[in-house]
This record gives sequence, C-alpha cells and structure tokens, in this order.
Amino acid sequence: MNKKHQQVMLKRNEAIAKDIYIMDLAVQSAQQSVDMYMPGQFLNMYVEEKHTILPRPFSISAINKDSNEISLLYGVVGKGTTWLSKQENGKMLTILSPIGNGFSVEPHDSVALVGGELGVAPLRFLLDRYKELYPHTKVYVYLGFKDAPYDLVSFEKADELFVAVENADTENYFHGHVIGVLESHYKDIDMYYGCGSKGMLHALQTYVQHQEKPLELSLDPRMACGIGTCMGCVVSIKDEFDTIVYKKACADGPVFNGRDVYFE
Amino acid sequence: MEGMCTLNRLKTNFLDIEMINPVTTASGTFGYGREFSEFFPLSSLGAVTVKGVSPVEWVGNKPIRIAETYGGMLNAIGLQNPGVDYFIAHDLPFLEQEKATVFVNVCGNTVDEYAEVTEKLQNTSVAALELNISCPNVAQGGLAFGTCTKSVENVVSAVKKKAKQPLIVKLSPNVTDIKEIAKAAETAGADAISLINTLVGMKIDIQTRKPVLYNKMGGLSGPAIMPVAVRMVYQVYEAVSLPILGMGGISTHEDALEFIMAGATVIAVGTSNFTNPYTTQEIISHLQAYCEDNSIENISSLIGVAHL
Repeated sequence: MNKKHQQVMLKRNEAIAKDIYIMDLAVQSAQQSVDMYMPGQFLNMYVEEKHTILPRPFSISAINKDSNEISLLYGVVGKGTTWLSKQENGKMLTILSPIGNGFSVEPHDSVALVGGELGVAPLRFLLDRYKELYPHTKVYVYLGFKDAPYDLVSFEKADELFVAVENADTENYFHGHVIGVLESHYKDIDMYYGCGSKGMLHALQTYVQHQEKPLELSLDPRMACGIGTCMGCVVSIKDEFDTIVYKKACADGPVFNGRDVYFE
Repeated sequence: MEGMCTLNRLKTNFLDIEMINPVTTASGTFGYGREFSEFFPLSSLGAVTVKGVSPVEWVGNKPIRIAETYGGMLNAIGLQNPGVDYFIAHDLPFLEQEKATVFVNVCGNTVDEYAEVTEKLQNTSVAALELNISCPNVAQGGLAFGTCTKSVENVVSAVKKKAKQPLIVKLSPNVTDIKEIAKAAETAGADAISLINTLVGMKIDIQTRKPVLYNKMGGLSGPAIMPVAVRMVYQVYEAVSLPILGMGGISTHEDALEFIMAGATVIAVGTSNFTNPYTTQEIISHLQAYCEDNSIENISSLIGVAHL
C-alpha cells in the first residue's frame, strides 16, 4: 500500500503510565482505508513543535477497521513527543502512513512475540492480526520492562503472556530479563518475532539461532526523512553473499530476517 | 477567463537551460528522485540535483549518522552512494522517464576521480554537473578540496576539460573567505557557483557523555544556517559574474526570495524536504502568487535587487 501524506484527527491521547501514552487517530475514509495496514509498519508524525525539523516515527500498534482508526503507543522522550503528549482530542495532525514492510504472518502452529519496553507497540498489532487470520495459531507473548509494565491489557488475546520486570521483584511478574524467561519457560515455537532494544534483539537472535527456528526483528535506529532518501537510518544486514551491507531501516525494513541482522 | 493560460512568472534560464521555475533540490536530501516522485511529478521542479555520485560505490559512515538540533539537523552520512555506473544504468533512466531536469552532484577523493565521474556522465541526458568540493563528511575529497584556492583551481580545471555540460561548483561555508574561493572557481572555468553546503557542527549526548554522531562532527543544515547562507550568496554575487544557485535552510517562499534578492538565480530546498515533503511545491505556488500580487512579470527581475 502506498504511503499517504494526510491529516488525521486526534481521538484519544491518554497516559497509561508515567510518560507512556496511547494515541488514537482517525483516518479520513476518503483518504485511505486502514484495512491494508500490516503489523510492523510505522508512520511519520510531523510534529508542530517550534524549531523541530524531523518527523517522529512511531510503530502502528493497532488498527480499527470499523472506525478507520490507527493506534500508537509512544513514550515522552524529547521535544517532539512532549509536544505530542499535550495535544487534545479534535486536533488535526499530519502523518505519512503506512511506511515500511510488515512482519510475515503465516499459519504456524505456534509463534512467540518478544518485546522490550516500547518495542511492545507493533507486537500488539501482530497479535491482533494472528488472532484475526489464524485463530488456531498459538501466540505466546513475552514482554520485558525495566521498572514497571504497561499496556498489558492489549495482550489479553495471547494464548500465554509472560511479563518480566528487571528492577522490581513482585509476585505478579517474573523478575529479570525477558530473554531469561524465554529460556526458562521453553515452548516448541515455529517462528519468533522481536522488537525492542539492540541488546534484547541480539540476545533473542542468539537464543533463536540455538533453536534453529526462523526469526523476524523490527529495527528502530534513529531516523531523519523516514522515506528512504537521506541514508540516515542504515542498519547492518548480511546480504545474499553473507557480506555485511547497509540497508535503510525505513525503506528496506523496519522488519528484517533475524538471521541477517548484524549486531556489532 | 476560460481558455486563458496563466503566465508562468517563474520561467528561468540558468546556464542556457530553460527551467520551468528556479526551485531545485539540494543534493543529498532527495536521493535519486524515486521516493519523492510518489508525492509529486519531478517535472514540476526547475531541476533535481541528485545525491552525490562517486566513481565506485561508497559505503558511507558508520551510524549514528544524524541528529536533530535547534532549527536544524546534523548529518554525517558520508556520501553513501551506489557509484556512477549504477546511477547511469538504474537511476538516470527513471529520471528521464519522469522528465526531470537532472543535475548530478559529482564526488571523488582525488582530482582523477572527479574527472572519471565527469567523463562517464558525458553523452547522457544530464543537464549540468555540480562539483562537490564541500562535503565535510568524507576524509578525503569533499571539503578537503574546497578550502584552498589552489586545489579548487586544480579540480575545477580538470573537470572542465572533460565536461560538455555546464559546471556548477558547490562551495563550503567552512572557509575564511568565500569570495576568494568563488573567484578561484570562476578563474578555473566554473559556469556557476552553488552555495552553501553544510556548516560543521557537533551534538553531545549528555547521558552517554559522548558526541551523538559516530563521526563526532557532521554537517549542519536547516533554517538555523540560513542567515549565513544569505550573507555568503550576497558576498559571492559581488565577487564573481557567474550565476548563483543559492541554498541553506530554505523552507518558505519568503526564504527563497531572500536568496534571489541576495543574488541567486536559482535556489535549492534541502532539509525542509524532510519537514514537509511538499515544501518545493508550496514554494513554487507561493512564488508564482507573489509575482502576480506584485505585478512582477518574471522572478528573474528580482535577482540581486538587495545590492541596488
């Protein structure tokens, strides 16, 4: 589907945890139908904060076909997201959407979705899509957080949800790193998906390599133009000759075959 | 009145190239045109200056390559490009199909490399060459050539020998005296001067306590550099008789007018393409409206008026 530069209406902008927000945007049906969006894709948000230059990229966290809406899960980390968090319902925002490729969704027996912090955002969409297309596929979700989990309600459809918190020891969640939980709660999984910090993705890649199973990773380096022009967001990927080359995360990704991602 | 064509008040003649308007794209911000062709026809632009092209594929710098700054951004891309042969085989046909007027930004590490790229671009549809002797992000070539008059003369005259197309020389602002450099380029045979390339800047991440860019320093572009660029266009207009392609932080038609009044015949939009992919289109229509509102028959009558 071609990306469209368009105005969307803000329908919801709510903090669900400290500095973590869910935003719902209504796409005009005459402009675009969100039916064709794929989990893994992202959008550019052109914030109006004075003196900012670049669009802010956000993974698409959910779509609603009935209302033709997109949901985003974002953190307040700088000028652009601070501005965004203050916008009120009814505000028209400018986006470019959808951008990039999506995760492969196939009728496996079982899949594992592994996310860390805001990396959980596109995995919610992936879970929804699996439940919609392949209700018989068992979807196991593993989420990791540093201090406190958030947005767990979006993963209620998971066949099993494992939540790991690194810095807090509570009865409700595993204490430690999400990859540790993956290792200690072995399941026979056909396909793995990951989104989160470089460290988490690297550990996931190593783990999955031992399992000899397929893996897709969503990479999120710093971006500038978001459309494949500036060469700012390159990531190291092994090509068909096993040579490490630079690929653009925005245009060639953001989803890549996990085996091909090279972590320095 | 029905059936009456609106006079195109933006028609521009630059280096004997008839351009539909004086709005072009700054090299490095527009790739080879494919991405933006999804938003508007490339033929709507006066010209497309494509990303720099080198003799062979250049890989570019290690990430992190970009950082936003106040009113601008830093880049240390490092001129990653697939090389001139790939450009001619894959990108130029696309641009021809799109009926774009193409300026190619020429890169090299040595005088011979600049000459080699120039030679390969002969007998193609490329309308003009823009000599990149001002990129701060490559260890050799680029800025290394553009900071002293002797090396400017060497590279410009070597390229001029091989080029049938007009030669635009792109200057860096990171010099002591831009007028001197411009004069050296003119003496050596340049047909036009384009300026400015990026300023050199740095951003430090106070969490990691290190520069954000892997290359530590990078080129600063965007609205923050515009006053420096306007000043330099003004100075170069007085120093040489060559036509000028002005750029540096242009995001509105008012910005474009500043450059034209300072002495630019043609302008380029760069970083603002990222802020709003339609920036060039908006500038074109607003410039046309400005000329209509002010009874200006052609925009070229405003070139250099700030010097009067």
